[in-house]
Amino acid sequence: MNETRLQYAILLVLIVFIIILISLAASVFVRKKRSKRLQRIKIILATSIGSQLKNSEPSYPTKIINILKKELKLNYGFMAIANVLVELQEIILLPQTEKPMAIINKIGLDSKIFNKLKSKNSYKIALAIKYSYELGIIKHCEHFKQYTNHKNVNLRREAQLGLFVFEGWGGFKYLSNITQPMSLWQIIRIMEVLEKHPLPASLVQVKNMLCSKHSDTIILALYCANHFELVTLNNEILPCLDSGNERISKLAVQFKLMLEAKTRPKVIVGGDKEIILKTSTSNGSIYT
Amino acid sequence: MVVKKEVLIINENHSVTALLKSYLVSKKCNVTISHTNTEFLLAINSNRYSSIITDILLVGTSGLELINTIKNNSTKSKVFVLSHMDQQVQKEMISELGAISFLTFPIDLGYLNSVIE
Repeated sequence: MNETRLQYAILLVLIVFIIILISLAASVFVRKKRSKRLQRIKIILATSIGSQLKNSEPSYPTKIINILKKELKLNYGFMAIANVLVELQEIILLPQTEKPMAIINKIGLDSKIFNKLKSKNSYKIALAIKYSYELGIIKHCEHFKQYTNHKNVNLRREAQLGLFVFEGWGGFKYLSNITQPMSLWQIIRIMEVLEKHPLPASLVQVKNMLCSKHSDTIILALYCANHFELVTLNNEILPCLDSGNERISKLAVQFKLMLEAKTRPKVIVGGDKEIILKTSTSNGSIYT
Repeated sequence: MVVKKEVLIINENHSVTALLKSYLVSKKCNVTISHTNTEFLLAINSNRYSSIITDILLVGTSGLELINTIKNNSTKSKVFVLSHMDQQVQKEMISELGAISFLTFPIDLGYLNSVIE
């Protein structure tokens, strides 16, 4: 009796072992096949985008469009194509207006991403937002606004970043009412995006952030003020020196030091007589 | 008859080579691609390229060795070095070795076109 049981047990272990081996082999095979397919798509996209760059109205061959559409129908196929397009943009510099929008619209990638934006799953929405701003699909920007204060950290981070990517310094106006915490990493990412945008004439949105009740938004504004040397925010920042929040007061001190360094008169080392003379006489303070 | 420019692209990344090749072909250039050190050594011996666009790192050789080999074998070629890093020290070192220009990712194709011309 015991012997039979033992034989059954061995048989069972063997079956399980064989199943594991088969599934492993199948997984390797599927992965290899997928990676080959992705590589093919990458080359197809790279070749077609590269050859159309000189055309103001690119026209892609139907065969290529069909291959991409077929890929898009697969589960997570949109991710593969979007990733390839994002990667291609890292290889060549494309102005905002010349992002590969023609191919995105043609194969329906934008509507696929838009469907994900309407999903109930936070992960999918965050991913759709990320692809939207990385591929420059500006028409999706309107949908980001509702997620800037979302309880899901990844979703609100992507939504906030997306707004800064599309609206530059105007992105601040969507953050004045947030209550959820903001990490230093997110602040750095926002500042990196802002570096690509010109400084606006009016900094009213940053000023509003400084008056916020939420400490993290004040911290973001202070980091930006220090990094971009926004000396015109002097009156709004100096009261932060007395803040009970240690991070805020430290950043305000940094701002004060930066301000002092900028306003301190420069000492002319070596004393170029001509420069000193010109400066002095123009002020009318020295008569020679 | 218009003489097409001969360009050699040395890079392991197939997307980079495909993109650059299709762009340069549309600009009426003859493009040869090398993905490996062996392919590169075979291609460089012909000494017929007016421009060579090379990655700074290729498996089997260092960036410095690569540029030295190019300069020794293909004396007439203009050498453009591609890199993800935008460091002044690296740029200076590569320029000393005889590279004409330093292209960082993402590549400005307008600039690339003007320097190849």
